[in-house]
Amino acid sequence: MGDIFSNLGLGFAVALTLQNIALCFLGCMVGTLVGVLPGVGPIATIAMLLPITFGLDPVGALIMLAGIYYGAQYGGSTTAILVNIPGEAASVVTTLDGHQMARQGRAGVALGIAAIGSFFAGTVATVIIAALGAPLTRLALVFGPAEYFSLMVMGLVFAVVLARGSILKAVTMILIGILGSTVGTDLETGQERMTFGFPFLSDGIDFAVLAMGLFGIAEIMRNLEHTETRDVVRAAIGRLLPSAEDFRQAAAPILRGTLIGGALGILPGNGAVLGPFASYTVEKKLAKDPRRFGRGAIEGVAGPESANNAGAQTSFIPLLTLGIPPNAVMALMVGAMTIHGIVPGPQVMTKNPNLFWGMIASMWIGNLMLLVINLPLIGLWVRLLKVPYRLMFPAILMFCCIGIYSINSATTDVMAIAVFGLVGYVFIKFGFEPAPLLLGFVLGKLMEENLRRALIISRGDMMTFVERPISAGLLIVAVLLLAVAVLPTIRKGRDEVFVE
Amino acid sequence: MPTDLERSADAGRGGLVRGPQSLIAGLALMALAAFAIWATSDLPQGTLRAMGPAMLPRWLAVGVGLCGLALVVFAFLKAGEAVSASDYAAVAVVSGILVASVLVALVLTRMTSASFANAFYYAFLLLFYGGAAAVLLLAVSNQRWVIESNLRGPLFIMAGIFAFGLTIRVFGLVIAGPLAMIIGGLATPEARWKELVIFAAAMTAFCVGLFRYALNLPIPILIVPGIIYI
Amino acid sequence: MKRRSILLAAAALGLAATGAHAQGTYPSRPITMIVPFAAGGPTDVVARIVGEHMSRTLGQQIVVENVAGAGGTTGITRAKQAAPDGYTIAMGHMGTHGAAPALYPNLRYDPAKDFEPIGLAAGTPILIVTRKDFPADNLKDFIEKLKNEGPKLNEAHAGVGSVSHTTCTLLASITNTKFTRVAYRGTGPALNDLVAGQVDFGCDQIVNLVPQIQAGTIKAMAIATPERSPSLPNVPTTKEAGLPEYQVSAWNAVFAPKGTPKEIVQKLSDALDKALDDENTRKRLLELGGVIPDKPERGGAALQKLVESEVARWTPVLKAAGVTAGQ
Repeated sequence: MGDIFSNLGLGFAVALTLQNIALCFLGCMVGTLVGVLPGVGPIATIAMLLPITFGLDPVGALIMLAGIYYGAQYGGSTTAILVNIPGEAASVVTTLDGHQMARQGRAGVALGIAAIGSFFAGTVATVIIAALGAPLTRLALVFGPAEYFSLMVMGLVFAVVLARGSILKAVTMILIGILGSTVGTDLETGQERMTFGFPFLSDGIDFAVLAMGLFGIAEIMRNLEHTETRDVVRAAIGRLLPSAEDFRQAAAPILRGTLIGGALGILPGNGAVLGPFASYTVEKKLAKDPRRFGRGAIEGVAGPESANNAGAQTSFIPLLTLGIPPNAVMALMVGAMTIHGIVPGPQVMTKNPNLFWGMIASMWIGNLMLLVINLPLIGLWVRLLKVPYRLMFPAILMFCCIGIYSINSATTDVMAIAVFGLVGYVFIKFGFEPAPLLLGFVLGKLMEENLRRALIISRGDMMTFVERPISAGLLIVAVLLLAVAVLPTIRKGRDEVFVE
Repeated sequence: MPTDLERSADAGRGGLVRGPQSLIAGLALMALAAFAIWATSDLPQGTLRAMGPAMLPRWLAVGVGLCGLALVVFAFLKAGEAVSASDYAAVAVVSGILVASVLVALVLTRMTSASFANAFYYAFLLLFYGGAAAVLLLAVSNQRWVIESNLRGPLFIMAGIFAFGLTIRVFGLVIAGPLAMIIGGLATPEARWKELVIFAAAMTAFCVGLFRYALNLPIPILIVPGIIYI
Repeated sequence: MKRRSILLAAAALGLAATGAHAQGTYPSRPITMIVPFAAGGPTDVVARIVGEHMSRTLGQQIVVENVAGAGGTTGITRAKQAAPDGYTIAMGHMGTHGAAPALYPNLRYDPAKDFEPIGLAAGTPILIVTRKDFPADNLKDFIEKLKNEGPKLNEAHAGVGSVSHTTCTLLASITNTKFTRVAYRGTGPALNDLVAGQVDFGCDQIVNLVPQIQAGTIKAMAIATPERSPSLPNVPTTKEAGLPEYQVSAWNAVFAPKGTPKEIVQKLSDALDKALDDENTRKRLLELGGVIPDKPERGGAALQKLVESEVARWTPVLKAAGVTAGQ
């Protein structure tokens, strides 16, 4: 235990130089500003801002990058709450209740509780990394393809629970989402699936494009219909910061979200993405009145946001201790490290203790910065909502276009958000929710890949999913969850199940 | 479009089809499923030991089709939501334009040496912008059905985004940004020309400063072929 | 109203004037270097290190634009279609300018004919690695195992058409063996399962492997270069280990679109040459395990030869293995 303190002491000594604090602050600031662009999630933000860290020394550069990462993540949540556009899979959940809160004039409260929840989660996760990072590494290695497949099945069950209305429609949306994720070049055989010869489809549909279309653009199209109610809602802006009552409601969800997100973040292959969904499911199941969810329940923002940040933090564990990036963001961090001459591996901790502990300390400082930067900014964001909608939506439109264009410099991506926007608009009109579709899309890809991988390795033996204990356990949890989710609604009668 | 009150009044009605919304949604899903099965029909399904690229998509499509079938069945059994023109008008118009452009492109590729992709691309854009302009004219001249079908919003939002995509690489952000905002801004009848143009110019200037100069992103600012390239 | 239009016209003139001035000497504005992979990948890293020094020589910023997709062919196609004025260049690699014609039947460029070669930037050696408890300790035993129980062994690769996939296809072709191939999305997850022992072996670029080999979490069988790598002095070359035909490297090289004026190509080529002589640039490339081309391997003519020989080498190997992507 004494070790942790001396190590953290070393880390803070590195991170708390004036230069590094400034870099951390700058990174958080810039990350927030770019991350707030609709559709630009953490991956795109880091990729875009990577070059500005080139001139720095390695420790400073990594501290700044970590700052950018947290900033981008929080910026993404801000967009999700204010304009209903999730920049990454994790903030899909935030749109559900966060944007509803914003529509009720509680945008400031939603943003505030997200920032505070994230800060708490970040603090706990930093301590977890410092104390348990090395032993937890082994967890990443027991998760093979079979375990991963089962984990994804469990995740898809979350998507069912997530849905507000009819379960049949939610299942349909999940299936369409998985179907959409199979578009593109097949990983195993290299054959193109459902691309119709269009080159821009050969890498599949981009998540950011799909999410921006289904959520952001569709939301604008829908808003344009309700002229009467829209501006009334926007005029009524309540308090800027959460009240004592809000804190009381959010405290337990933040704690639970932190634990769930932190645990899932350690898994390789983007386990962190499940954190917010799992947290939302748990909160909805524990709530006395689950019907509040999807209609602006503060627990639905506090829990998932904490889970998201805790997972973002603990997903550094496989990178720092194994040298293996668990997801795309971490892969980018590896790239950044190699540019600075550090190739992450199992020995970073012993070879570069300055870097290792400095980075861990800077994680906490980065989270603190986020709070410092964002609490004052909340007032600004909320005031932006007062702009009349006839001017606001063209501006959102342009930011969407710039954001999506800057990710891949592809005009086809820009065109595609218009098409998905129309699709999303029709979904809303016919009572289908886009959130399960997006979750199906994200998990579907991982699910198919791991299913096929597991079956190749087991030589086609399906029993591999049941024989491996962790995999079997996850599948049992999935079945139980599904039963818990579906049974009550079925008992209440078919009306509830199939009609909203 | 009907208000919520009218909808619930509709919902309780008798007749053979008691949930028109589920009926249409179900049929559309079944069509989507059929389309996906057709689109993967040339790919091998493989075996469990070596799953082919078509196995999962095909079974998913079957699943989507079954969900669609269930919705269709329930449309006859249970009273459900009604459907109004504004629910499907935009999709119907855009799909119509799509089909028309495919036909035009097929004809053009027969008659000339143009490639299908190019012919389709130009035909679609011409028809789409023609359609959008027509809708705007009809809406401004207060044609009731145009306003009720709620075409203006979706079509102009799409037109604005398309305009950005078409111009960003050719002319740069200084042209593409205001174009997207002004065309997109026409999506609402509350649009005011002067205000919109000034606001678009200001927002574009802000974006140029932020993204190009402060953050150094490789977004073209202004391109006049052969003369200016910023 | 009138005053505003005059102002506008004046502004336009001012811009036009700077533009006209710009026509004079090359380069007068930033140069875009298309990297056909995501930021942070091995090719991106090489492009940024080399580009940084070239910017200083040329007196204009080289801006990296990442255009990822379809194994890098999307970005290279865009580079081919760019104006041949020297303001758009591309960082190609073994895949885009060697294996791509065999992998992508609908490829919209010809690596050997559609570009003005500027020069080779760096080579990255390929290693054959196994999980740490694999029952073979040298290349000879390993190949023996492959021959005897090939289909029982699982090879991890980073997707059809990736460097790890094509180079292991070459291994199968040279050793005349067959093994079970497991696809991952990127080298990270593939390496994870190799370290965890879920799969048996793989072929990959040296960059990510060095720390794992040093830490003993995976075993290196051989390195596919003529000489040992300074970062892994204990790993024998394929030549020493008895498989001299297996010589392969994931090279990165700079290209300009066909028709770029000769003197501009020369200028870029000289700038690249200078970058590769720079102490600091060399150090950074070597730290990555990269191999810096010697003088005779540099420049456009040498690159042209390399591209032609690589296309000639990969096409039959990949065709015979029945490997294609994107049809």
